[in-house]
Amino acid sequence: MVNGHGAAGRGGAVQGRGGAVRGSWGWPVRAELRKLLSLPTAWVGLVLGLVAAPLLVFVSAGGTRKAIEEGFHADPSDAAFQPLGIGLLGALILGVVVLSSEYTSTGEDAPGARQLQATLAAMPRRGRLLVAKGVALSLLVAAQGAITSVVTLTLSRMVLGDLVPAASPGRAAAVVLYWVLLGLLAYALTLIFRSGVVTLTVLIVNSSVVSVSYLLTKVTPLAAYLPDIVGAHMFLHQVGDVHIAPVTAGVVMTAWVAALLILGGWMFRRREP
Amino acid sequence: MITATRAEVIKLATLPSLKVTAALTWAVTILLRPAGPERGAVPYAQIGVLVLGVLAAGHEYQGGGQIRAALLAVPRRPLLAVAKAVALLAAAGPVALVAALLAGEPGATGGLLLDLLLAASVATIMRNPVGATAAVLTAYEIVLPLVRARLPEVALPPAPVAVAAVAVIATVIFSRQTV
Repeated sequence: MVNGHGAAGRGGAVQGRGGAVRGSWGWPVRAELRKLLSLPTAWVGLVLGLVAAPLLVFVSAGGTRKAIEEGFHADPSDAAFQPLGIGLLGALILGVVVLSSEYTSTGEDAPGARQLQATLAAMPRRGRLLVAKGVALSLLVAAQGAITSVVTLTLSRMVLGDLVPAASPGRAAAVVLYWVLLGLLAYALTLIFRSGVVTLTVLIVNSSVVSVSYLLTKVTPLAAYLPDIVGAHMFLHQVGDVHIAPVTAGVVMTAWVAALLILGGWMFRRREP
Repeated sequence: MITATRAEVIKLATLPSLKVTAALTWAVTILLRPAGPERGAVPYAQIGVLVLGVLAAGHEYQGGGQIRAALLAVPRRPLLAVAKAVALLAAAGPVALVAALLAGEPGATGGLLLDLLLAASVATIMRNPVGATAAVLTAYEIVLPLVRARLPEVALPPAPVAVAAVAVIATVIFSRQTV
């Protein structure tokens, strides 16, 4: 497949024709999707994302039921959505490995030769490569997020019964959007740091109980608008002490991710001219 | 044994990524302490120490496969494993001590050293720094707090026992696996 269309992608001269442009956008995305799905670490991310949230529903059923009955949740509908905030670790891992895998060496005997060199030889247009990676990642995370949120919300309803109201499709869609944006945020940060370890450390820590972003909200309420925590307001009604409308949260997070992607893309083009 | 340990200490002391991690660990600990986190600044120092352990053990398996050169020089694997553990404690132990002092809890040094050994053991088992970082941090910062909060009836083994078990598993795997 890659060989068949490789000439069109390399030449770039066929750009002007409508049909050629559509065709030349299809194969980079397919190639990146196939590459991503051939990585063992990506499968760890996929499976972890699919399994973590539903598992958490079962594990925490007792605690959640008690919390709702004791009125701990101001809004019980949040209880069904909270496990989804943890399952997105899978999306983070996918967002990191889609790029960090390019920086590993291709062979033990040639530590200087990175996967990226083969990729760039096949797809020399830097911008198109990065877009193709972003699209492949988004498609995969969207599918993962859609399946996980439907399964998790259905399970919550089965386990908790009438304690939680039925989830609205809009909020479920917001979850999928949140997953995709976080996957892209991980991708953008990996573009900037060029290191999977740094990105994973920052994002895993910030989605945990020792979250630095959450700690900063105690110093200034403005920290609630940091990219990794503002998105949760899209589908949870109560996050921390600050209230942000779902649409505002979505717009702010999208703006953050877009800005970081542009910065990351610019840095990538400078480093890999 | 002493020569192997000294060689490993030199290796660790000359890795730029470890220096950067140590500096960042101290910086984050100092900067976040005034913000008054609920459980003190030690959990943040702990994150840095975990990454330090992963990188110290995981760098051998990055491009170039330095582990093969190391095994060529010290072919007795259990010996190399012990030398690596001793060298890690000697080279990164002071980093953990300073981090604990900066966090205002010198008593936390012992716990941080255990975290260091555990992270290095996991990286030795997984042989992939990115994967090991994800595994160690997810286990420490997300799975363990969840289990403690939601399933209080589950009895977790004491930290030294758990770390010793993982370290023994790592040594056995390290001694048997081809590289």
